[in-house]
Amino acid sequence: MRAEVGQPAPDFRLAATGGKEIRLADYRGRNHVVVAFYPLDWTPT
Amino acid sequence: MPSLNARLADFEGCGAQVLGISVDSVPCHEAWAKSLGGLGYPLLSDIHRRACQAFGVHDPERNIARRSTFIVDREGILRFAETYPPRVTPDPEKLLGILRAIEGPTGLLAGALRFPSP
Repeated sequence: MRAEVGQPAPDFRLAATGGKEIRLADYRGRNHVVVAFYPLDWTPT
Repeated sequence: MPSLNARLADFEGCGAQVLGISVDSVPCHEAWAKSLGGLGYPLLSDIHRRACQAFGVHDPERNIARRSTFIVDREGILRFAETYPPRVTPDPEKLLGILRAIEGPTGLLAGALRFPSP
C-alpha cells in the first residue's frame, strides 16, 4: 500500500535511538506526528 | 535533521512529535546524533525498508529512502506529504503552519476538508 493524504497512514514499528522501539500507532489520540524520512545519516544538511 | 531539531519546541507547542527515519542502523543513528551534539527527537532505523516502502518513498536504485516529510494527525490520518529534490531539506516554518492549521481552535484545515458542497 502507498500513503495517501486523507487516508489512514501506514503503521510502522521500528527500533530507535534511546533503546526504544517506536510504533506510529502509539501516538494515536496523543500527538500529531511529523515523519521525516532522509537518505542517510551524515548526508548534507 | 538539525533544521527540525532547532525548532523542536515549536513542534511540541503544536502537539507534534518529530520522528526521523532512515535505513541506517541504530548504532549509526546514535553516532550521528552524538556528532550533532545530540538530537531532541528519536531516529528510527528502517533497516528492512518496510516503512519507506509503505509510504512510497523507497528509492530502489539506491535502496534508501527519498527525503520526504509526512504529517500524521492524532487520529492517525495522513494530512500532508512532501518529497524533496536532492539537497533540499524540509522547511520547518511550512510544517509548523500546517500543524497550526490542524491544531487551531476551529481546525481550519479539517473544516476546509469537511466543508459541505452547495
